[in-house]
Amino acid sequence: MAEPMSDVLLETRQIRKRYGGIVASDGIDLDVQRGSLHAIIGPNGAGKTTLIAQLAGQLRPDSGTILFDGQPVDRLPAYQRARGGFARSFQITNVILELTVLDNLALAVQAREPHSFRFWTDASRDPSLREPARHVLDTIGLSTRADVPAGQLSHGEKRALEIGIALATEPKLLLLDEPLAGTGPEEAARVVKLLASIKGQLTILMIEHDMDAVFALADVISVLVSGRIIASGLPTAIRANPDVRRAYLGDEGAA
Amino acid sequence: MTKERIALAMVVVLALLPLLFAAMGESYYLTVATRMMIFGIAALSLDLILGFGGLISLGHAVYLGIGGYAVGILDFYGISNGFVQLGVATLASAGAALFIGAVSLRTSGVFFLMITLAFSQMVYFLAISINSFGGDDGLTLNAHSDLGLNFGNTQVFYYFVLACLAFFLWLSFRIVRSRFGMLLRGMKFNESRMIAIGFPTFRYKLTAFVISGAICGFAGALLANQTLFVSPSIMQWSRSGDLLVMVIAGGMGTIVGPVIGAIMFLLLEKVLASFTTYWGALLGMVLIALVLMGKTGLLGGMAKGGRPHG
Ligand SMILES: Nc1ncnc2c1ncn2[C@@H]1O[C@H](COP(=O)(O)OP(=O)(O)O)[C@@H](O)[C@H]1O
Ligand SMILES: [Mg+2]
Repeated sequence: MAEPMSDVLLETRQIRKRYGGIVASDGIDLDVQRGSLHAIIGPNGAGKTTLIAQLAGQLRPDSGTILFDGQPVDRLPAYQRARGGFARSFQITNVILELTVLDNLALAVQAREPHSFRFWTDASRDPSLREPARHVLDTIGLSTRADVPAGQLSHGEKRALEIGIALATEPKLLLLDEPLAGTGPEEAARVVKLLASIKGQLTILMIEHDMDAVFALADVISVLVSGRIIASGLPTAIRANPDVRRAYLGDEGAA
Repeated sequence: MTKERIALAMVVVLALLPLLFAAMGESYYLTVATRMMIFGIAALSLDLILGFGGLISLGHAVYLGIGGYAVGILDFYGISNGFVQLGVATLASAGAALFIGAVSLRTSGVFFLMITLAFSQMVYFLAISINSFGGDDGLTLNAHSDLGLNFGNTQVFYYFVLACLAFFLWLSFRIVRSRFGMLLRGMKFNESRMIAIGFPTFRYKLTAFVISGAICGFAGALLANQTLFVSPSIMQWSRSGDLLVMVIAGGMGTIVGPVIGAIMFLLLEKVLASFTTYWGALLGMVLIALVLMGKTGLLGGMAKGGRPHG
């Protein structure tokens, strides 16, 4: 048992996951400090999305354990982890395209309530859902798009909404799976700005390919290659680490 | 026009209809219209899980059967109190939906369709095999449900059914706008995301399934009252198919669309059957035309301007 007052919010011990012959997680040990923005970098197929899915509960590890606030969460289904303070965004945008931007966020606010067996009051007019949703809307910079169906948003706006839905659940730990996936330079800058604005307010574990964004935002960086963490440390140390440069950073590390 | 306004207009028209029929001297039409409204309630109940929950049940008529037989069997044992009869019909259907849903909602897509069909077929064959309740021949009722109203009078029964229809329309509009309704819609479009943000989706889907089954069971009890007769054919699988057609042609996820769909369906059935014995094929063609006109059904085109999915 970890100390309740520990500075580590999320801790994984020897997470293993195989897909047939492929070892997607090969004994992952990870400590995410409370309040930090911890980035995970690694080449395609390194097992980053698989790791996030195991943390959020969509996938079960074959073995190993996950501690959240010192408590094991291995047996909790995804919805209970979400209720306990996990939130994740998806690499492939996963918003409700048919509902408006504000409805997407209001549903995420609603998810915080003890239950939704409430059949009577008009949810679309309930300030206890709409106001927190509008607040998140401001945070993600989509105030003018509140009543637009999410399917009509630009890609960059969808990426912002993707993060907004996770934020609206008021998580303790935000798991971001490539928040910049598929964005152009301008859209990327916008998402980076959003992440910079929420950084420090909650603990963030972020997977990202964009090295500029990672080095601009991260307090700690871990490098995942073939299902293993090969290095973990401060950005300056990671940048200088010869193994990391060889395995992953290549020329970008010198940039 | 919003869907609520369309629903209100429809209820007003239906309330005035008996005056027109009386002026025409065609009291038989009243019976036909009553039947349309009862199927309207059944179609509306299916819309709650199909249009809002995205669950394609091919066994929804089973609740018509359970509701109908609940009334028939109570009548058989001499219990004619209408509150008891309608209450038992509704609760028995809710119970059946709880059981069927608890099993079938663990699957999805074609499997869900097949399991709901299988359950309805089981109950269908059960009804056929129990000879003391008439078996294949069905069960004739001794009397109408006794609510202190003269259901033998077609006008009285017509207005009672209309009041029920209006009530269920109102109830459904409330439900789909509530938190529960919002969640139902969210699950229909993207269940995995709803789980990821913290909703235990199964119990909510099951609840929707039970509410839907209960309302449909109530419709079954009304149907038994109209004909004073209930037989296994009330829950034949083709009946479930008819209900699906009513909802889809009328406009899924609009509440009032499926009611209009039910009215149109039974109207077409009557009109086409008077021209040709091949009315089934004709009806099929009309339906294809309807679907080609707009994939959202009759009301999908009409109800623009209302709030989305409201
Ligand atoms: N559902 C799956 N079935 C089989 N193999 C999978 C599955 N999901 C991921 N993999 C494999 O596991 C490895 C890690 O995948 P993933 O976690 O998506 O990597 P990343 O997100 O780092 O690109 C890859 O080799 C991928 O092909
Ligand atoms: Mg990935």
